Amino acid sequence: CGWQVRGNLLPPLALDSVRIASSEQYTPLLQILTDAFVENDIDVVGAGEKAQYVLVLEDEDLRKRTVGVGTDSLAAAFELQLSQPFQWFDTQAVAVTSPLSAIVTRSLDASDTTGIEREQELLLDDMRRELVQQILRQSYFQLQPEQAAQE
Amino acid sequence: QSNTNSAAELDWVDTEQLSDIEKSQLPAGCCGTFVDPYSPPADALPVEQTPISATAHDIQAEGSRIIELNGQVRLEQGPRLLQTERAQVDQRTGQVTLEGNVTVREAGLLIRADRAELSTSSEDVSVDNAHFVLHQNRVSGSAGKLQKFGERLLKMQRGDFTTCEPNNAFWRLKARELSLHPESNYGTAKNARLEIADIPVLYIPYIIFPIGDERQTGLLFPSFSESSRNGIEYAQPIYWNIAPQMDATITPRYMEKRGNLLDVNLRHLSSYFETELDAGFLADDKGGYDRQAENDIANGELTEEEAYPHKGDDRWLVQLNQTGGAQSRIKTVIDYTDLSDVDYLRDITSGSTDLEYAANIRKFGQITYSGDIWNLGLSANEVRYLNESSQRPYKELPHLYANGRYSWGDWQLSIDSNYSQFDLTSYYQRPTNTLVVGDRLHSDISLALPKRWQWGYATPRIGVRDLRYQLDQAAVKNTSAAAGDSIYNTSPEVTAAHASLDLGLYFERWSQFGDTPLIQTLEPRLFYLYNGYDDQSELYAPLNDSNRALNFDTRLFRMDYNQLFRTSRFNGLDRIDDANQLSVGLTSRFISARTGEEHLALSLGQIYRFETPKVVLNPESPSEAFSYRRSEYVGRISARASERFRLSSDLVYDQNDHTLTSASASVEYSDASDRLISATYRYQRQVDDRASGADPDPDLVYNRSLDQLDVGAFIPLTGSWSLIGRANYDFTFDLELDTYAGFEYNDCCYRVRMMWRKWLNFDYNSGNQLETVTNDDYDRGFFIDLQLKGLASISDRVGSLLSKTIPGYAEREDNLQ
Amino acid sequence: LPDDRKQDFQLQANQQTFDQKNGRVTYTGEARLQQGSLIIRADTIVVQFNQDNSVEKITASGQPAHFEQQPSVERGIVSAKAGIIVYDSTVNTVSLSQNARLEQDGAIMQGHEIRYDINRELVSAKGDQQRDQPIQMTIPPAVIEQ
Repeated sequence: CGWQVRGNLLPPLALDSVRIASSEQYTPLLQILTDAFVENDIDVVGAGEKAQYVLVLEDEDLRKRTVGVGTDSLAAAFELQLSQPFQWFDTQAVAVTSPLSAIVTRSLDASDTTGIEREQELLLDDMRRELVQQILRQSYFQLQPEQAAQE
Repeated sequence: QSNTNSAAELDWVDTEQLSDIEKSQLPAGCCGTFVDPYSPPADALPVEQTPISATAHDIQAEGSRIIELNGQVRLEQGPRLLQTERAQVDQRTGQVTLEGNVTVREAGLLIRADRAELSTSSEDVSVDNAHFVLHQNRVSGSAGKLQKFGERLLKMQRGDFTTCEPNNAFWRLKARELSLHPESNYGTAKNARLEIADIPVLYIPYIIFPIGDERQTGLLFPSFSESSRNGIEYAQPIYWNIAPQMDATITPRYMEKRGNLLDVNLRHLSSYFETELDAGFLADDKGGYDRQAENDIANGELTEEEAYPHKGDDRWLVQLNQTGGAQSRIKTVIDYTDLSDVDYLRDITSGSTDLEYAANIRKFGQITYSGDIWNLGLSANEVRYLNESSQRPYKELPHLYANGRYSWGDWQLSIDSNYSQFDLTSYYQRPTNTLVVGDRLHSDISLALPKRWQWGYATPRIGVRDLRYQLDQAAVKNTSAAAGDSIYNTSPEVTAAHASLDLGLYFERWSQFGDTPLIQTLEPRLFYLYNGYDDQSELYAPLNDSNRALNFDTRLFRMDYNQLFRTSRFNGLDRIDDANQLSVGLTSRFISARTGEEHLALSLGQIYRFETPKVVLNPESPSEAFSYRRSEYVGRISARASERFRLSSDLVYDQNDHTLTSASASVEYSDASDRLISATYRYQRQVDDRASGADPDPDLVYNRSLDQLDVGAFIPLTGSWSLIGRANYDFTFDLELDTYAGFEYNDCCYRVRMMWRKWLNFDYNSGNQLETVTNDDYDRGFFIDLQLKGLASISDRVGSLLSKTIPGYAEREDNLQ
Repeated sequence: LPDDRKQDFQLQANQQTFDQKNGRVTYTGEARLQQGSLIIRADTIVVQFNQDNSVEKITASGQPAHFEQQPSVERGIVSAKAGIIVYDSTVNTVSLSQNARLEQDGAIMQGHEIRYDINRELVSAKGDQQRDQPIQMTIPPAVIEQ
């Protein structure tokens, strides 16, 4: 039924260099995003250097909501929604894509809050990996309109 | 006062005649807007350097002094346009006098009057019997005498203004002295009177009000509310803009049944730090009112002092939040909250924490360095449980961590080490003679060979984990019993090797949904985990047999899809758990081939255990869930259709017991016509861990399954009416947690929100309160909030309640301003 | 200048035609008249004399005709042009019509009809009501000695 290994259906993202302009520096998401670009043979250049495209990241937004109340009528479960707005620009700072966003939602049990801070950090780290995958996928199609909708 | 100018004369254009762009920018509920017909030449020089170009029916110039112009006079001078019947210009003094149907126009400003005086060499204008319009701010009004100074400042005697439509103004602020600073978005009024539907409603000696959205120094609008617990509440916030990066809001709050509270919010922004300090102080609390307490007193269960424990106390709250180093490798975080007593958050609902059923507050400080190879951190953390019966004994001070990542070629060496010192926290009120305190050092060194291809990945990893303690007996408190002496090893140590293999493949094919082309992926993933076993019985009774099992900050992860690919069963570091298991996970994503957006992702997985794990937290209560060869099935669904629809759901099905262990789903829908609907369901089956037949211990909270639904909706109806509603229902105990219903009427320049609310008035220290809820445990309140758009909102409580409980409402509020 | 009226007229043109009967002299072709600081240049200038041979009225027409005079030592030169300029010597006023334009000390006035009363230094202009043509004027920024 037409299943093919990734890479046959569509060629990889044809991008050789990227500069990331982020409102905040040295954040966990930036680290994961940089590694992901390097894994896809796209080198990430420093602030001053020239790059084919510039990825602008705004602040990561975490919305934490109580979604369950325990028998002690206190919060027993939280929902974490992490979103990362981003947009691509060319070297003359002209927008190449419209403002985009990656978003992921996870729930976190809090009926026993022992060690919940470390658990939340582990969960956020996993959510950031998911956000990075979403950013790469959306960028793949937005930066290469000819790939889009070949069908 | 010349005849009241018709709306058209004030540049008011009804919706029908508006262009589409103008229609789109029209705020909700408005049926027209001020359109500024005049646009000065872009490069207009300042007034004093520009000649006046005048036209009139006839002009008379006497020498080079007085020039008189009559008949449809029009004077244009740089950024300013003046129109009148008669004008007189004194060339030497630059004095210009206009009489008869005078109009003064600048970009975004219109003044109409009978008479006006101004000077050709400055922007100042002085006008009698004036009507004025500030187009961008949607402000219009009139004044006995109006003076405009420089760029835009308007000072008025006997002035009034509104943001409503000119001919049917719902509210109007009148004042003997009124001044508007549209450039810096604020206005001030002396001896002001607020009239609603032409009825004087409020007299204010002096007030500062925002015309735009920034807050300005001065009295902000007072806010009112009523609740059975605190009676009538009246808060008068005073905003003080100390410096460009520092401001303070001081809010004295009168509470009928408690007394006077002073609340201070201080915000400071520096290039490195962003700091916010919140402090509240209530002297000599009058106790408030609690129907449940009254019943207990009535039937003699409690004395007055027991029912109202905080009567007469001074009660306070301090909250400090600071983040630093946004641009630097060194970042700092401070999250410090302290209270006079745990009931403060329930009794004095000033902050928003009360709406989130906060379970605990913490004193936390952290400084971290993120290098290219090493991430280092130093922190201290003390958590205070508001439900004192579930308070944990330990605080962690300090906690040091160092995580390193070296890579050569394909090889990657990871070093994670954590050192912590645990001691008793003063908030723990149970006997401590069976507890131990001490330092813990946990390190995990592993070598990996991650291989990545376009179609998949393979990551073998081997490593070793080491856990060592330096223990001694905890100080004996809250009991007369003595602590046993330390007969066992005070520095237990556990070491075990671990290995894992992570394999994944990516398959893709074209697919279709309606007319949008999709790419469907199929992503199988295998994760084999082997953790060596090392006997940890030394930790089950660390120093003597009466000691409780050593556990500073660890509990079991609850099983869900995230757990499939984790390398430990515990969320803390107090155990090196053994494992010999294979996790299988399959994910399928449906990705739009146009935008790359992930419209749907389905995942399913399970863990196959080759051996039953032996390491437990507490030998007395081993969880038998792990004895099964195959774990529960875990699934996840997440869906997203542009900005309008979002669903995320986790499911865990236990095929050994043929029951659903947990199911959570949250759906958010919002559309262009501002409809917001959100539904959140959560089910968590919890085995009742009371030994069968044993009667319940009042102190203990027994696990009862959690089965709750929370639905929130904001439905605009016809015209400017909208329905608001929320129902948060608990099926296990068949009771409503928080329910409100109401409506919002959103007119062009004001908005009314009325809401009836019934909410569970939880008491932190009542143990398993949901089991024994009676009708008296509910608080009922009627909330009304009148917001005069562009002026202020009467009570901020409603807005924050809706934003907290209906996802998407906060975003709607932001773009409403 | 105030003493312009005492000066005598100097006139030159390509042709001159005398009309003894009506006491009128017509100068055509780059006609130019000067009396002290008062100068009129036009295609044709018609000078009308009184019985006592003093000048009653001067009518100049041209595409356009030009008029210039310095009202007083401290004032700037008044310069004007119009299709038809009539200088009435007896009342010392100048009437300009047919897109008349008058400038003094940077102040420029344009319109259908402008009258300039030299003695009272009063300039007044009328718009053309029927064709709704208002008078235009440019008033220079007031030079105020702070």
